[in-house]
Amino acid sequence: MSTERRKSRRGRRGGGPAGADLERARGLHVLVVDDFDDNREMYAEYLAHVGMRVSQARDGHDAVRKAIDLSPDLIVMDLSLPDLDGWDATRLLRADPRTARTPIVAVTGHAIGTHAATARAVGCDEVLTKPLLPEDLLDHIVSIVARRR
Amino acid sequence: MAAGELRHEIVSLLVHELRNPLGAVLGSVRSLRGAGVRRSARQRHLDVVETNALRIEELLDSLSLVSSADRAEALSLTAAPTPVDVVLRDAAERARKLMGGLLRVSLEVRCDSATIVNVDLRRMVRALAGLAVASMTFASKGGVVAWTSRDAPGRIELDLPDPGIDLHDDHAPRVHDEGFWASRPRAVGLRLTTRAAVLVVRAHGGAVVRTMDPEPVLRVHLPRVP
Repeated sequence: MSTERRKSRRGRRGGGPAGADLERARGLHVLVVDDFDDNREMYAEYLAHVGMRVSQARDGHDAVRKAIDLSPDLIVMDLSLPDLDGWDATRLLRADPRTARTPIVAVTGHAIGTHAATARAVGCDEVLTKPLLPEDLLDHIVSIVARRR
Repeated sequence: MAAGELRHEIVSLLVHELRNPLGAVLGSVRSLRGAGVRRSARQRHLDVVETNALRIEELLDSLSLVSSADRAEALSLTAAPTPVDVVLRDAAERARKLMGGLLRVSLEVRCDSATIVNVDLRRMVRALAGLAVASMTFASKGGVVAWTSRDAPGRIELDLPDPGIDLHDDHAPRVHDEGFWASRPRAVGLRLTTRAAVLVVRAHGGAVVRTMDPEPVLRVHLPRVP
């Protein structure tokens, strides 16, 4: 993220995107996947607060199952997950025609090495690094949805 | 793996382990600064901050202990005779705080308060809580985990039932097996915590063993004060 963008966020009261983009994002169904409960619940609570419908999963298998069963508009995917990790879950989702085009935003604590490049290679649309405030996550979701329309 | 590569991998994994609790702290602080936070939400955010700050402390403590041990530095202890029930109850309290919203089982302590052990209370409490959290992190939700103590010749045994770090029984012995942990890099935080706890117990003249009785148990041996 650029320094300018960070500065603009610090200066904003309440955070989060404003206007038409946010209005369009309200009502989206987002699947939040993270095995770290405090972070998953924090994101889920915030996205629900701004008007999105939110489902949650805490491992890769649960994420794939829910993505196929619930057809969310977008998936927020942690990469380090028990059993089936976020990279493999994304591969499976991209290989399934029902979820092949669903936007996937990876949110990860992995900031070193090739983790982000691998996440993009397997099909994640964006890779964001923790710690990530919920309103910053919302910014990215709104921006991805706006680009897709 | 070359030493430089291994160090890079460990740093990368530690950074990852620290970013999760840090994210929760920053998010909760941001929420607390917001207007109109309800009292119940305020308390929950404060709990999240405390739990995750303790997790960061735990990880840094463990890293420091393990690093000192790798340089063959002796662990300094300030030991004093202490009733075993004080040790277990303090450790259980810390484990509850460390687990925070993740605590999926109810934790009970059953022990004989007359038994005395010679321990550095602060270090032993952290070690036992660390072992407990490592074993319970991926435990299934529900049920009761009871910590117990019993007298044995020359020592006491503390049993911390081990619901499992998402493991099969065939993986035993676990906590001392470097090869096992190496194959599970994402558990580096748990590995560090467990290794630090074992170091502390050994520095007290004790040991940590994994046994079946009949369910998986982490059994901590500590010399008893006659």
